Amino acid sequence: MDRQLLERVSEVRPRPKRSGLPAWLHYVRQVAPALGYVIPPSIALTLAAIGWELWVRIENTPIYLVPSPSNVLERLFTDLGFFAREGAITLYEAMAGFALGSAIGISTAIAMAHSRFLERSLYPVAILVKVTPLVAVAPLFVIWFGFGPVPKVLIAALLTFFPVLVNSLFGFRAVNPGALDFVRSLKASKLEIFWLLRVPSSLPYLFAAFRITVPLAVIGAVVAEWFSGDAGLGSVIIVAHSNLDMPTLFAAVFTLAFIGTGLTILTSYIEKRLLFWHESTLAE
Amino acid sequence: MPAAYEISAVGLSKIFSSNNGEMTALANVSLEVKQGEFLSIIGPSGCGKTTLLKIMGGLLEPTAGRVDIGDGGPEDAQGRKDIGFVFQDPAILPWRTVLDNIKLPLQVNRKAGTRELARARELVEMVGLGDFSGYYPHQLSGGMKQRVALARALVFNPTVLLMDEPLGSLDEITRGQMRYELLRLWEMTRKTVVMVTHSVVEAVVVSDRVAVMSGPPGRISGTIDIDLPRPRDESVERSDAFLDYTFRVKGLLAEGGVGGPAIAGASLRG
Repeated sequence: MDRQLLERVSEVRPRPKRSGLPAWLHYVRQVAPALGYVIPPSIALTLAAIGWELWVRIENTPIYLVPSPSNVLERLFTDLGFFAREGAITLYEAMAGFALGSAIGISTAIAMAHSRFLERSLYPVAILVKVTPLVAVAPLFVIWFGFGPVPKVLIAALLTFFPVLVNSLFGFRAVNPGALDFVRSLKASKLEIFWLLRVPSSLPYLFAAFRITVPLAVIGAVVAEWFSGDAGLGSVIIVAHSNLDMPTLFAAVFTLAFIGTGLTILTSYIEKRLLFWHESTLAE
Repeated sequence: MPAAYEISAVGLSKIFSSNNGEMTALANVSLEVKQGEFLSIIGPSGCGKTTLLKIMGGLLEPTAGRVDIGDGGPEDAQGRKDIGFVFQDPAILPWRTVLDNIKLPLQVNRKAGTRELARARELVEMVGLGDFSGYYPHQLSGGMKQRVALARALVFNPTVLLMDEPLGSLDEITRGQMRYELLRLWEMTRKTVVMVTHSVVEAVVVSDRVAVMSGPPGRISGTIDIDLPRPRDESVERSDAFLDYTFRVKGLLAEGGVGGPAIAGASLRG
């Protein structure tokens, strides 16, 4: 029986063959599958850009309405340092807000998971935060917290807070009941149950929330920058908008898209590394 | 209390209250298990077997009656790490390797010393997973996962092993083999075992004594001593004595009836 099982299990993980391939070809082989994810969308994007470029040129669209991709890219690359600097400010605000919102969301969830009373009293407040339209409070935050990074960080945190709270609360409770009974039969303390079972069990739920809240935090930072246009891509957009400087506006949007893509790839990379054991990763 | 009994349950009753009213899961159940005895509890679904096992292990409070394990209640036994639990769902942690799963109990209350860590490694070998100690659960078959759960339950060298349909989630072929694996393991360790099962064959093959339950409300219809020679192997299933015992168990099960309708929502699995 053991031999059969041994054979069955060793099939699961075939060892990479170290044949006589040159090193660079070996490397290409490892990278090749990743190219499958990069090349098709690159082709689609390039085709879309070509279509856009042709349309602008044939229709002769004025540049203050729709600039051509070549205009935008020219604007972006001639002033790359400027967009990088402003982008870094937005990125910093978004990530600080994301970290703050996640920290508060997770701590609140821990408190709620351990006390029904706290859950009943705090959950409605959390929902109130969620259903309040963010744009309504953004100008208020600027008045309260001034023109620095603080109001942007707070708006980003506010947007991050709710999904993280709900998912981690759900995750902390999504513990295998058998595993819970098992450690209880060893007289495990609440703290031990929390670290050994609840935290790892909540990670898939937490990352599901992060996939939503990472882009949300960027949105929050940009919207807040609209209202206090001192720095960041949001203020670049507002200023360009009032000057009808469409190439700059589009270049800022492109930079935001680039930031969003980078953050999303980073999130799913970390998720795959941490959750190698979870169905969502195994299914791929 | 008499030292001859490792586990003694006296006059256990358990009433679950829900929105649909009250549900008597156990009605005045008494059961004693001797030191080193392998006892199986068999009965139809919803007769309160699992409830009884959980009360013995201190995972549920009885409404009435008391349980002693060694010199004290289940709570004390839990504190002494004298209870090893195995469930139908292996309930091993998917983010830990085989060895780390077996070491899990050692991280509770921070009691792990070099002796326990050595024992964890020993147990990996004992359950036949020596070559797989670095594997993750998703790389294992159902039978192998259940071996991990068994080793995990044994890592503190508990005096009592409580198993709730430990082979219930396995396919028929694996189950037939694991039955004897379990028996081999028990013969090596001689724990006091209480096992809940749905399988008459399984109960007769492994046990010193079979308790037949009926319900709800859960009652013990009778117990049958299984006086088959040990050590037992597959050939035991061909003996006349074995057949005789299985018919006696089935007879007692039939007498008890299949029980009334279980109330929806009451947690009475098994």
